[in-house]
Amino acid sequence: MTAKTKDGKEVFKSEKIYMLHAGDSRNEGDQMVYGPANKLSFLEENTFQPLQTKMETYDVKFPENTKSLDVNVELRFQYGPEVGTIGKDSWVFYKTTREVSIK
Amino acid sequence: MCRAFLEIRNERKESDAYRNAGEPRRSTESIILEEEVTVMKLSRLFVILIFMAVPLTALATEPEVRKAKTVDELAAMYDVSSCKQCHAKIFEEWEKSIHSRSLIGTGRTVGGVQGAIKNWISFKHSGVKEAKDMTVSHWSTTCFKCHLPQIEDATDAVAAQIAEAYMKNDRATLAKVNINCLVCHNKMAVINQWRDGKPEKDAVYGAKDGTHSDKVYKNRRKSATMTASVMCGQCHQGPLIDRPVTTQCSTLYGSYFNAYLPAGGDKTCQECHMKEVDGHSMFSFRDRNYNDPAMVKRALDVEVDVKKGYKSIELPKLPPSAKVVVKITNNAGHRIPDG
Repeated sequence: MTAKTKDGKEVFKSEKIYMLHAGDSRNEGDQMVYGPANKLSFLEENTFQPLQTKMETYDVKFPENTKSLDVNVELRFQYGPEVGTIGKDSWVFYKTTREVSIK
Repeated sequence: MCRAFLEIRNERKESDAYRNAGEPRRSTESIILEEEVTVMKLSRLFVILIFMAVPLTALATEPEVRKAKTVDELAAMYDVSSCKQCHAKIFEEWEKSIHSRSLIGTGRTVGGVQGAIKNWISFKHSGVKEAKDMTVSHWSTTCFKCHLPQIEDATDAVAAQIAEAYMKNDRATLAKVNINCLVCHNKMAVINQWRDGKPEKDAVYGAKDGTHSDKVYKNRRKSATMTASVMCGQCHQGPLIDRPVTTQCSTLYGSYFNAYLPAGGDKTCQECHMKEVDGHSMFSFRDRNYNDPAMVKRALDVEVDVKKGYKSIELPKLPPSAKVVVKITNNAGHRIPDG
């Protein structure tokens, strides 16, 4: 989720990864791994659970002398930690831009 | 066995007595020694007979299972080309599915398996020094439990051939075998085998009993498993922690079982991924994957509420702000993401 000024300057950014964060099967400390042959212990589970709603709230601060911001929300599915190529190893599930302003 | 042995020993004593009647008397020790040698010879004969008998008995009760010696032979054992003649639409759907390229997947499977093989080569106790050391046992307890369950019907030569194909990125070889009609409708179609027995060799399992117009698979058998989530759960489960090496690709069935059903969900895997969409393609091939808006819409609801911006009058130094609320509801029968 980002917020940008009308001239495109990013003033807010928050990114969160939802997944079953697995630890190394050799239990070497706090190392998180992806490979199925390595995964065993679990470090964090923050996936979207079936028939449940997850709510995220963001408090976006307006920079000085800024009256209007574009808020961009994107929910993306991606195979790896990097965005990669959209449509190949990364897919946009949802995307919207909303304007929010102050008087 | 012991009784037969004693009887022969006694009979032998009697015949020795007759044979020795006209002969010069020998010492008791020499008779005993000769007798013991004879008994040893006989007992050896019995051991040989017993060892010969056991395999013969086994053969009588369980027919010899032919194992594929090459990938081509395994492909031929699981040839489904005749299915297309009568089930053209289903066959075409399946061809689009990721099941039809189960050793390749979206392409990521190849990289994943290559990584796994490299791992196992590096593991001290795996028994794998190079790709060709991979055996059926290595595969069937890991990747191929799901990606190629019919590896059980192959020799270690096939296991090695596939491992080497992975390391050479030889996708033509990897494409020869897959999860096809026979894997689901025969090999994996009976779950409670202590009660129901192994799948019949000449039957396809589905919705009805009856005959089936095929030269090899002449019968149809009704199997409740085919429409139950547990059918899919045989593979789309996890984590697999009861193996010599851990493998955790998917946790879908666990999520379905422990989260979706308790939350009030009542659909089966097949209802969402087959019945309500495009049948045997299972909505899973790369062109109909996560970028399919219809599927994403079915799975996730996203609501974004951007609250009106506000500023504080009493605390003028506090910067104006706006609250953004994002609500994401998962309507699927399992956690998202998962595999």
